Amino acid sequence: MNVKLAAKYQLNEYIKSIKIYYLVLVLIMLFFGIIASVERSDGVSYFGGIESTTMIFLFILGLNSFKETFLMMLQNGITRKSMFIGRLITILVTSISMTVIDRLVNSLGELVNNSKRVKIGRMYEMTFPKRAESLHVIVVNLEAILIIMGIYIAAMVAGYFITTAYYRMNKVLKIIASIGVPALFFVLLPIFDLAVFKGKISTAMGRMFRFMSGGDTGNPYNLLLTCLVFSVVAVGLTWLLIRKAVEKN
Amino acid sequence: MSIEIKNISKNFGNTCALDGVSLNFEENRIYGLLGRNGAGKTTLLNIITNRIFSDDGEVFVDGIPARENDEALRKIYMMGEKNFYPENMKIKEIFRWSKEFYPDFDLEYANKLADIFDLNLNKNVKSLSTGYNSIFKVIIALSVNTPYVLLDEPVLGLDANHRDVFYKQLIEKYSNSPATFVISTHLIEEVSSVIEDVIIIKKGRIIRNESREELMSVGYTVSGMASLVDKYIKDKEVIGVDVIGGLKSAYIMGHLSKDMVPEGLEITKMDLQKLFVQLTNA
Repeated sequence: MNVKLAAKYQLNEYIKSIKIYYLVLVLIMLFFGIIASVERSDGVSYFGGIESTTMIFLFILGLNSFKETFLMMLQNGITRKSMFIGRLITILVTSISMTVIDRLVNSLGELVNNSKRVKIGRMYEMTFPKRAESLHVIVVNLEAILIIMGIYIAAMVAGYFITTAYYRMNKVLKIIASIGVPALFFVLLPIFDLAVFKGKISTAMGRMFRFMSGGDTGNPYNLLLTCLVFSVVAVGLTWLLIRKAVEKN
Repeated sequence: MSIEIKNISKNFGNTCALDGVSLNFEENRIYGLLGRNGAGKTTLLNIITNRIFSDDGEVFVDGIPARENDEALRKIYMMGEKNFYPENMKIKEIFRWSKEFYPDFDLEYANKLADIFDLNLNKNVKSLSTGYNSIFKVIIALSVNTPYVLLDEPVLGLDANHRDVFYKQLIEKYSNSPATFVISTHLIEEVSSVIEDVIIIKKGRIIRNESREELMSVGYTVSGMASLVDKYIKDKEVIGVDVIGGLKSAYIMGHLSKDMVPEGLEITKMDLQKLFVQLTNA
């Protein structure tokens, strides 16, 4: 199998976008850092959301990960299996690297910020504050890396699954999926829930979401498990879609 | 050593694109895969290279099943009519990646061909004209050094000069380092001097698969007064006729015995294009 080659090509596809992303991110951080340090008020400024931004960035990266690569692989005699395994390796490498980079960027921001008037918010510490305070700093960092990595992998896999599914769909299915799915979850279900079940479905879904994200128990491993289960299911479904994908150029 | 195609069938909805096609592409030969529009040429090449899958049948490359098999697929390069390369990628990057995917890719030779064709390597794919889109793929096909090279409409959009350069380079390449070239094209007259074997495909079925010499030797044209021609062709395998006024031309398959030709009839050799037109019209 040409997995190594497929992974190398696919990783190369990501590198340019990732470099631009971090360049923009660092510039924004510097910009707001400078503004905060020259500001005369006594208030404290908050800078956060790097992980959320990276998560969205990775989701979009996942969304752009199929058609062009698939055709290039077909052109160069790489099988679907090699391409797929190569993509999974790429997703893992990218997610791990960006988790570590984000952690470092956050830490660097805190180090550079001498004035103490800028507080850097991190996803893990903001989501699980009690746990972050009760554990040793090394454990907090390791756990945060693990959880954020799970989220990043899930975001990339979600994007990859959606773009592959769209590639396989015909025009009618694409319209149904684009309009039908959002309409079902954001219009029909709430109306039906409110009219028939008096909001019980929404309440149950909210409770389930809080449990899955670890929000109610304060246990980050609920979130990690949710991300892992979602990723495994999405990877399985994506493979089913890819193994019989053909050129539709 | 060959690409062996066994009983391949492919349907697109109700349309049968290939119907039980079986054939061999032998080692170090140049094949002309000829057929009218929609005959199934591209479908066959796409199935060989796994771009699409057949409904039935199998393809073997040097005895290895080709379906989802890296080892088999790396022995084949297909230059398709459609572009499969990233539109924003520069040609020099595509050459670099071709070297990665096909280790025997001759980068030096590719750069030399780019010079000959006057191709700017710093341009990206989407900025190329139709002709240059074919040219960069032709250059890769000639430099890739795989045992099997499939060329689907290689001269699409090329002007007469570039077509001439391509045929010359192809022959030179073939002489220096032989490989199997399969050329699928509509420009039969041009390609006829290059190909050694002819495969004619009609409505998804192979109707002729023989060497060019063999095929050319069994076809001839007889022309003259309609009544004389009609009398002559009575017991012959006629694949087509043209009538202009009182004159008639008949295209005949079979060996010619010159002493049997009556006076007043003219016998000419059928060229490949004429033969193709008559065979695929019949």
